[in-house]
Amino acid sequence: MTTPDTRPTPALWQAGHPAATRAVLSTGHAPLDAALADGGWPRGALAELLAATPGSGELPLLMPALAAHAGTGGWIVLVAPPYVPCAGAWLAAGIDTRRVLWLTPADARTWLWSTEQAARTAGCAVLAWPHRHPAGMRELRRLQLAAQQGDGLCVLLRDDGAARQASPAALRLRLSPAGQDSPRGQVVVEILKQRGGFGGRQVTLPLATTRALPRLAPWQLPVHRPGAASTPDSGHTHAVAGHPFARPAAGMLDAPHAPTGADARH
Amino acid sequence: MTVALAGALCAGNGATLRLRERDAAAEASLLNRLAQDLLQVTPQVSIDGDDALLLEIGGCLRLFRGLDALLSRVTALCTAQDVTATLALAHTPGAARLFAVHALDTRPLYDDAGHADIPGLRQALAALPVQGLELDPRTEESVMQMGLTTFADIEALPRQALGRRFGKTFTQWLDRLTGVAPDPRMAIAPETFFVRELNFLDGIVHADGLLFPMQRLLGEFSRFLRHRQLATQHLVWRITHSDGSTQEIAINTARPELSPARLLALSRIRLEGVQLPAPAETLRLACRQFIPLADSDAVTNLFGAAGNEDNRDDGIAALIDRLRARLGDRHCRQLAYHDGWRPEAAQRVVSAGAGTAVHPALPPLLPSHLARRPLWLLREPLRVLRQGERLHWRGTLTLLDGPERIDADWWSTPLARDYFVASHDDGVLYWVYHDLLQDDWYVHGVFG
Repeated sequence: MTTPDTRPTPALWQAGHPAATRAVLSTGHAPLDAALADGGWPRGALAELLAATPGSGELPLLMPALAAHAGTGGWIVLVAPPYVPCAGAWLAAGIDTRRVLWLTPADARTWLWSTEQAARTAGCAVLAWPHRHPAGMRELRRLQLAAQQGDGLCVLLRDDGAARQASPAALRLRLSPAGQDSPRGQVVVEILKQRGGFGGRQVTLPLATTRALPRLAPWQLPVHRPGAASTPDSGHTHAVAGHPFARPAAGMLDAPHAPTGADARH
Repeated sequence: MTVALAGALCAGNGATLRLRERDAAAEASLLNRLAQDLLQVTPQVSIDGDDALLLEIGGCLRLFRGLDALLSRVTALCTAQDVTATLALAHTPGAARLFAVHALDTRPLYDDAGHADIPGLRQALAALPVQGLELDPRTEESVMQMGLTTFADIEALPRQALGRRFGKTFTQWLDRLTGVAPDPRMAIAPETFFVRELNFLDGIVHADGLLFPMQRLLGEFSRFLRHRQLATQHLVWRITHSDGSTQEIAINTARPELSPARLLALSRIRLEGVQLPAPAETLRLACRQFIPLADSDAVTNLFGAAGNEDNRDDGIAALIDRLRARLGDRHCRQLAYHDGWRPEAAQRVVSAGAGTAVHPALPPLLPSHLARRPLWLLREPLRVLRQGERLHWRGTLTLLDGPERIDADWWSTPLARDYFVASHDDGVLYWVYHDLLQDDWYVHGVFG
């Protein structure tokens, strides 16, 4: 006789039992995978990524998972992103832009409708930005239901302030830049809520695009010199010649602190 | 029925009588539509006058496995067009028309394989009265004056005498009718385009009310496509309102489509945004661009090779169709990479699902500079305020890495920029450039 399973359904989580295995997509960041109870981004469930400003590192955080998804021929749907995607950079990150859809819905209703439609479709990873169309509890519930019908990644990239709101999302992460003394390009990922596990853990990650940067002291800005090649009219004639701007740039890079006449004036 | 009689009947029932002009053009178009549909039964369909269709069915009996099956198919096609048709079978086209006019059921004279009892048919023809032979009035009168009352009487007279009296055309008509001379008819050509129209007598006030007529037209359209082994990616609805204005709704699909259900779903989405300024009187469906089904992958999918991948792509194609229908092409886009130095020209916006044609082939090895590009671009570069040695843009920007010099297009609009990675107060990395031609600073992109 086997011991009766005290869990009637995998949807019910009891802290005493190890979490049931659910479909996930590895985040591509080993420390984060380890911190997550399911071991990756949830598939077929809503996830939230909160950041104070768009561009705080959400995309580099998502990129390994998106590239893996795109590698299997999956599509990526961007709903109302705050900026225009740059095709070259996405290609360089391993994502075929022929399989990226860029939606710019005009109003909140269309935004919700298109996000739902995309989330329901098999083989779609959805990234949705509700910045212009703030999502309430009702909208979030509908998105969670839609995501359950699909099998892909469905990430809502929300404003930091939403952390105080309750949300039906299966996973909520908050992204913030690491402190001043830490190496540049590091971000702190805080797990606010996760299905099948506890929230509250923090993981510090170096993100790919910023990690590649050499850590340099900020340059002094180049000083404008009247009569140098950077005036429009002379620049035009020099442009035909080939390297009209070699001088000011070289001066800027190689000898930023050289005591030039302009500097001396300060 | 006269107008007065109809009026009296309506008054008796308490109903109001509404009179409408007979529309010969609409009748002709209905007949033509029916003829096109009947091409499913036989390739030899011809329009006879303004009220009859002639079908040469001798060659198609085996296909339908018998006369009854064929006739019931013809009846079904007529019913689908809301047409009540009188069918008559005969050995010559002229006789068939006359039997139909007189509603003579000649079906018992045929066995199921289509073999006719010719003497029986001749007898039936002979019994027709002269008034019912559709002769021109002058000829009919002189025939009657000769004391002839039935077709048998005319047939009994020697042809030469008839020819002398009524002219050559009369004897030719007689020969064709009895089958002595051949009576070839010009078969209609299958239509190249699909244009169908429905008229609403009362007008449709709410856009939702158009769904049912749409469904009906799409059903016809789908049959049209199936019989020609075609599919389409582009069709146009046109609604004519009672005030004479029209509006068009174009439906574009990402994949060749012939399923009426999916086309209806797309039309329904588009219809949600449609306002009718006045009741709709006419709904027209037009399709002029077709794709042979063999070229589209629908056929290959039929034979098993299709796996999960294809099902998934079908789902995505349907998603793109729905999104394009609801959002419009302007809000549902894709980006195609173009090789070029000018960052804003290195990509083109293309409509979603346009296929690989609009996306240029990617170079086998991506240029290495792409790895240094930010994932996001601003819609257009935004000016950065420079104060002495500081850059201000919604806070302070600190230059981190660079420069990457882009110096291009000296032959047209010269471009000379030094691009830097700059860090903002809030930790976001921006892509900024120093325009060397104007000595101005701009923010152009966001790294993530």
